[in-house]
Amino acid sequence: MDAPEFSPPSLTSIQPVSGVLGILERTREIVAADEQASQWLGVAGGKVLGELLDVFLPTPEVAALSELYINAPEGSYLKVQVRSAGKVFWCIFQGKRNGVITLEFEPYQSRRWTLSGINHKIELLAQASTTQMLYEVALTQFCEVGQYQRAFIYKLLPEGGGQVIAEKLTGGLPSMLGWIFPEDDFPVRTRKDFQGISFQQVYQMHAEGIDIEYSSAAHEGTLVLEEVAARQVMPFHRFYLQQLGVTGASFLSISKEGKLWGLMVGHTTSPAYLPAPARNLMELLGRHLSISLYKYGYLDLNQFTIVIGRIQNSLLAALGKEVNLFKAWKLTGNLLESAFNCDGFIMHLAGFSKMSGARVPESEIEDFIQFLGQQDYPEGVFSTNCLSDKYEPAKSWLPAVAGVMVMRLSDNKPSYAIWLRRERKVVEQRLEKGPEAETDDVSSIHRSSFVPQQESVGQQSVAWLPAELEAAQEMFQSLVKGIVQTAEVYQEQNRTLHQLNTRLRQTNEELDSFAYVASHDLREPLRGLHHYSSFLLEDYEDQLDEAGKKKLHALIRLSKKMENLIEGLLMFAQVGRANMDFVEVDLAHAVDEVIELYRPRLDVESIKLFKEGEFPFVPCNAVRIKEAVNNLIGNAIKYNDKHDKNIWVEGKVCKSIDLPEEGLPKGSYMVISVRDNGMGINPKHLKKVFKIFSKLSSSKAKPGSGIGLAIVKKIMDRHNGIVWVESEQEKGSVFSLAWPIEIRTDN
Amino acid sequence: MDKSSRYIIIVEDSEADFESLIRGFKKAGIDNPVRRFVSGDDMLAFLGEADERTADFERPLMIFLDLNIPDTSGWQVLKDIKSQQDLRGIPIVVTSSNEDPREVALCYQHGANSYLLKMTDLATFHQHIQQLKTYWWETVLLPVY
Repeated sequence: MDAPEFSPPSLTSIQPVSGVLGILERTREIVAADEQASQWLGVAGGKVLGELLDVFLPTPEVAALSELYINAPEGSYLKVQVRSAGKVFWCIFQGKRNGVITLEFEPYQSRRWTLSGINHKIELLAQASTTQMLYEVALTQFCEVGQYQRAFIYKLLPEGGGQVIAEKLTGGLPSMLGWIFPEDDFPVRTRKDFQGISFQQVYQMHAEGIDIEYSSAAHEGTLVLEEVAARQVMPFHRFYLQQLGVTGASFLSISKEGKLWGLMVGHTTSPAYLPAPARNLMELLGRHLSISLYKYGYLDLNQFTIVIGRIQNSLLAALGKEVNLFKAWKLTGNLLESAFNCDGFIMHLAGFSKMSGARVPESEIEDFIQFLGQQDYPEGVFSTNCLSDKYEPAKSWLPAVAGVMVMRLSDNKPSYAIWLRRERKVVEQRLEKGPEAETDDVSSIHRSSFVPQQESVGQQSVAWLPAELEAAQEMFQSLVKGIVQTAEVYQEQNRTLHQLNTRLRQTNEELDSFAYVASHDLREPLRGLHHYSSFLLEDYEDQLDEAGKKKLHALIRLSKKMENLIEGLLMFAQVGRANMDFVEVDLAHAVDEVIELYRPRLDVESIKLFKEGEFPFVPCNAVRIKEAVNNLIGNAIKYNDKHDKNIWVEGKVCKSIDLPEEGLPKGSYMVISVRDNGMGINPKHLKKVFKIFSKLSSSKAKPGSGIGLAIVKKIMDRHNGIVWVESEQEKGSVFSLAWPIEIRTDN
Repeated sequence: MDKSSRYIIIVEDSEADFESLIRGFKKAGIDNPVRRFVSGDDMLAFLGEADERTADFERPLMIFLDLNIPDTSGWQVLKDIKSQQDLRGIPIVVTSSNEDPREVALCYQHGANSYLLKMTDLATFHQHIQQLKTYWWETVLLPVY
């Protein structure tokens, strides 16, 4: 059965708040009048139809009135006094059709509805910086003018129906905030009926209408009754009001960009009716609200632009620090999530998902991502407010997940930013189609109660607005197309770099094991060489002359030297090969242990050794760090020709920027320096000292394998640290070790 | 049977190392008969299968086993011998130039009784053999079969 509740309002009667007259423009003969006209015109029981207007109104006022309907626009009004009864009215020119003027007479009220405050009100609207504030200000004005007990903004939803999105209560009526009225309660087709209407009122729910009577010179349709303020409202409105326990009500249409956007609604529990001046204010308010919303349309877009800019900055900043694009995305996850109004968010990056808010079950993510991979992404974005329609398994995710908007993050790998919306909130207090209702003035309405009606939400989420889709597409353009693809190129380069590094590390490892094996295998024949030389000397001593013996001794000495070199190579290789365990080490204790090893020698050679600074507990490989310090102290003793030999072992913790090498990871470093007052190193050889088997001329006289500092360097390499030397010839050298003890990954 | 008259097995492929060992023996006064093998497999073949060995099979006083030998590696040979009930008692002195503590530990874990480091410095090496003789020949008792 067709729902008759949306039939146009009756145009045969008006609400009992004003009077209506129809006069011929030319003669001012009354050709239509409401049933009560004789009463308010002060001619009780007397005849109104067929009389001239001049009979009831004083001549100057008739003249002013003529002026009004000849020159002024529809809706203009003036104050008139009825001749006989002395009653004062506002007389409103409501329109002209077929030579008949429609006039509405409203009892004059002394309350002043001036425009004095309106500028201020408009300013308040203009100053609101968010849409919520705008609603708040508008509702306050609305209530102030209309004296409503409950006022709210009812916003039409794109998918049909509408929702109460803002509300102001002044007492006596309960809140309706968040209510959704489904599509079939306010079909899109009825919206056009509100299009042209800016403000209409229900004076009193149960008041009887007053019929209009016509003379023979007129008929139904002659009057512009649809413009009359006291016209009847649509029956379904009245029905709603009845259900809501409301007596008086008003509706102010709000449009945005020429389309009906929603209504501002006022409710009272007693009869309420605003006269012409107040209605004008309301219409003004409605127009300004419409304009503000239009402006906010742009503001919101602007805000999206700002949000996108912010994400872009964050992403760039993250990319600046991170080699990994996915880590960068992760860092911007929160910003991305908050870009749109959603109940949940998934960042899926090449097989890894991070979820917040409303959830898709972990076990089903993989399949879902596969489904996403099969979808089209016009402009990089895919969206639906009914996922279960397109993807069957999503039915089990209801009500937490009903709609999704997905932005592709990468061309190469399945990576997405996914915004989730829950199922549209079920409005428990909504109108339910009931049994056939009894016949009264809302008889044709088949709704009789407010009961929950779950199924009607249809597994849908609140729809993604065109503006939101546009913003997401914009985001895709500027973020994914702009930054990410460039970054992906970098990432590719990084991958190559990484591969090279891996290969280099492998090569180093191979070199280490090569050195180890080689030195082992070299030793045996060398030992043979040495042994046979010794056996020769031993067995044939009698038969050899001095020159022969000397040469054999040289052979033995050289093979011993080579043995030493191989020994060094072996040690060097072992540092590279050994597993490095890093534990918290009491450095003070470790350094003391090394110093103790040298104690006898320090005492004998009267060398002064000072340990200064801080040696805290830090992570390192104790054995290797001791070996390094041992080496440095050994060198400090060895390469010192001064009479008073001094050695300082200094410890400190410092930041990466205090170290002489650039590009180190940020954080805290442990630094141990061994300083001496020895012979120093020629500046041009400074770089050479850490090379394996490098021995400097100054050390010619000194025994050594030339392997010690190379091992120290290798030990520091294994600690991700550095070693460096500062030196001044004849004054002394400072060898320093530094390795990270706390690396910060944040900024 | 007297310790000094029982035979010793030396597994060593390097002539120089074998000779330095023998010289060390001579200097230290070890004049036991020596049976030399250049590979572990040869020695294992000599010792034969467990079920083939007769009760009067003469076991060596000691085995000097080089780790770095062709074919079956030194410590595989070591493991093999130490896993045989009737050979396990023979003291095995591992000879090697490898100072890596892990290598040393591994040998003892597989039942080596001593680890003698081969070195270029012959004087020291022969001194070590002297001390070894004092210990194994003069200090401790060894199983008699």
